[in-house]
Amino acid sequence: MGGYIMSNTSRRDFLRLLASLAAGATLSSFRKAGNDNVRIVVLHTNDVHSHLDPFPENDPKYAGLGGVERRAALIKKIRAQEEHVLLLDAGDIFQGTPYFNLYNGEPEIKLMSSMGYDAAAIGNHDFDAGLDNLSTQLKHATFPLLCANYDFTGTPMEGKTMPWKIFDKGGVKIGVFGLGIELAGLVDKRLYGKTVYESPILKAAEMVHTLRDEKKCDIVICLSHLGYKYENDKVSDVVLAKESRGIDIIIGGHTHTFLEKPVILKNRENKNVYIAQVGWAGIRLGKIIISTDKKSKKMALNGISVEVGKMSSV
Amino acid sequence: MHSVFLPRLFAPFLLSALLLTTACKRHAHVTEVSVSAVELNPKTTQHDSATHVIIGPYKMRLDAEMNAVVARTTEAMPKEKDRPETLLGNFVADVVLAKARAKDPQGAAAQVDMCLLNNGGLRSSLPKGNVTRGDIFSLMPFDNEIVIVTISGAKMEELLKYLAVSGGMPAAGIKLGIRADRTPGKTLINGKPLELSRNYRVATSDYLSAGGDKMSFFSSPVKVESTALKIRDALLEHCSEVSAKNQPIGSPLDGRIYYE
Repeated sequence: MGGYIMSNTSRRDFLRLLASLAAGATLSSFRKAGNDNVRIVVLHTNDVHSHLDPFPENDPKYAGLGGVERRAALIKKIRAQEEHVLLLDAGDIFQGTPYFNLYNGEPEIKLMSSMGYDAAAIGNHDFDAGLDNLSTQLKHATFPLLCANYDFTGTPMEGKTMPWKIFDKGGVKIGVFGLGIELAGLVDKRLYGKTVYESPILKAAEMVHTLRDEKKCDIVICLSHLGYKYENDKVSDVVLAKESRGIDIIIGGHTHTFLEKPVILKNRENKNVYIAQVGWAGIRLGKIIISTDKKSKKMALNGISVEVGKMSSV
Repeated sequence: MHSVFLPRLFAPFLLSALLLTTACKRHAHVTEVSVSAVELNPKTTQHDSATHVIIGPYKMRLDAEMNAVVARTTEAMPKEKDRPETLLGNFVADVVLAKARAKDPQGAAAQVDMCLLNNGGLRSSLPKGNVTRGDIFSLMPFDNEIVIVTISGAKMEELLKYLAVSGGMPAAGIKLGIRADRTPGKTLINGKPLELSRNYRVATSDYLSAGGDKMSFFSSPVKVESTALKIRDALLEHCSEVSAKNQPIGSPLDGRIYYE
């Protein structure tokens, strides 16, 4: 797990990935002058579930891994090396350790703000102390919660989220939008109250229209808490990727799936969609490098997941 | 403030990068292909002072409350799924069934037939050796309460089908064979075969009884009775009772759910 020396197979996969990039996304616009080549590093987490301390040394599966201090240090180090960093979380920030039982998510949000998160999706467990609490904890947030498919009208969360946000990184416009999972049968009705869940597929299409067609974003990222994939036909990141157009990257969560590197699928226009997810509990930090070339107006993507707190090779 | 990192093994990455660059020469747009793995050595302290300052006060109170050892185990109980039964599932389900029987609002003479929980509700592993109060909170962070749901024989049949399709969930008071086609085989509920004509009383969480994890057989039940006991508190009570006798906690794998 976590070895980054490429085997022949992974090298082959990698070449295939690069070959696929040739047919990959075309950058529609660069607004600002500057370097021809802009390198953007997208860092991502999901389902951290209040795991602020590393797993104890006697944990049967994840001994010593994770921990918010290490994550912060790692992010800081990457920021020192990279000019353009985007830091995202795909939801389920809350619930899972006594931190949440004692403090209802306050330290989680304060720490994410301190680490400079740019945006987060809403996970089903972020409802666990109720909508009033989520709204209260957001006062500590310096980043927006992005969700395009929950209608919070008439709830304490009304007006507290945004469907999308655009980030300018060295003249490259990156549109990020959020999607949440169906709440009925997953979250106690008393917790989500009057929140209305709307179709992620339809809302995603609407977001792509706004971000890609109207706002002329170069890159569109979906921050999703739908889950990677299911045995049945429940909507997931895989379903969304195949049925969508105009989404370059889906940063996912919910299913606690450890993807060593992004999975590449074809969307309905036969273009590449990258799906990334890095397990849970802050054990790993996802790192996607987007390299753009102004002259050819093309971009390349490449991603890995970095283990937080363990020797990951040899 | 200074972070200590040990970036290692860059040679293989350079090699890969070189190879990829060569392979992709004709695609001039590919400007960056290297995989730059950052490694952290657990032996080195990675301090981030800003983070440390924020988390410090929270952690101090939390550690004071959560680091107390409440029980011990003789083997680890890892959080697992895709198995018909697990050490962790058997342990929690046995405790919930015993506590439901002890707190039964109808009294000790009444029967609680079985307990059904869900894998997704068990959130973390229990270690081998000392178990802290914090470990129990991480295993069961939710404030869900134990309820006793009375369902019809027909709904019990649905429950068994659900268990078979799911390939096993934390359960107690039941012995169930799962056939190759994922349907229920040989079944004993509280030691007896399924009788469609009678009602069953099932201990579960208020979350699942309200339809969580698509347990539709709990919808429109004959009756739902509260025990006013949280699952986490049931586990903590059990830990202190067993530890008072200087015994370890845990339930064995006993083939309660198995593939036929």
